[in-house]
Amino acid sequence: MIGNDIVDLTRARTESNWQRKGYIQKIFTLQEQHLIDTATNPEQIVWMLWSMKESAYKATFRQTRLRCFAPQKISCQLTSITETEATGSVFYGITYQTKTLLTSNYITSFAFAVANPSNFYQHIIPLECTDHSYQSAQVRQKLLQYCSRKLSTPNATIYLSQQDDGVPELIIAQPSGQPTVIPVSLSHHGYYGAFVIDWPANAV
Amino acid sequence: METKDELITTLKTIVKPYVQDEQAFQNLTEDTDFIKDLKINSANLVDIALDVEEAYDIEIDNESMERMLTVGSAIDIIRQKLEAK
Repeated sequence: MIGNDIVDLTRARTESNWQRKGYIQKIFTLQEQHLIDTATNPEQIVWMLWSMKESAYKATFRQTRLRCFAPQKISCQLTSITETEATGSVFYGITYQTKTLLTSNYITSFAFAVANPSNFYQHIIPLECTDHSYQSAQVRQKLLQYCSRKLSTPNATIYLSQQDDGVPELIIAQPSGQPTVIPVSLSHHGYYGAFVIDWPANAV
Repeated sequence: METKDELITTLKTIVKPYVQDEQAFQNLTEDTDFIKDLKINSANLVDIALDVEEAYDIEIDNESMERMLTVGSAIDIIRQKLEAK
């Protein structure tokens, strides 16, 4: 189970005013609000916690396929934080571990179930244009290119399946037998995109 | 109370600044999904809830916000809250 999220900080500043009255209270638990209130860079903590929540939501959605917007029900704990990265755990039905990259341009997290840690690969993609469908296509293309190189498999044998409910999987055709299915998570925002691959132990 | 059409018109004014798919916005119906169709950033769903609270002087509690994913569900929630006033 995997989920990721990326926040373009410049974009977030024009799109969302987190200092708006009532905003923080609708999203964050009291404990998280305390982290924000006491932070030297509250903006960073806001979007870090947000990306942790989004990542855990997406990981849960893979299992349940239940849509719901309840950010306060997803609660984050911070384990460690440096200038460039953070680790934490997020509880949303089950406990996830999260890893976050902190930069001055973007913040990105991914979440995975504690019970089955595997081999994750995360990649960040700078985007040239903020058009929603362009971004989506770019991130998908980069993911497929990366996998094709990594597995030394021609592009044609790999495709990204994404059903109506939006849970993406890489499908890799095998010369004989069943295709390999690899869970992936994709995100894009502003001038940044990101993908995370949940490699099975025997795939690479 | 506003009619359903009036509620939809008000809601359209509220969601417009957050919309990232103009085409879907032009063709908006009760079935329109804020995230899947209008490509609204999920962080802006909170803004929509706050804007609705301000526009109608009602409180969108967390249980209601959970379900506020489509135009239709938002209209239902606003109606319920207005009736309870």
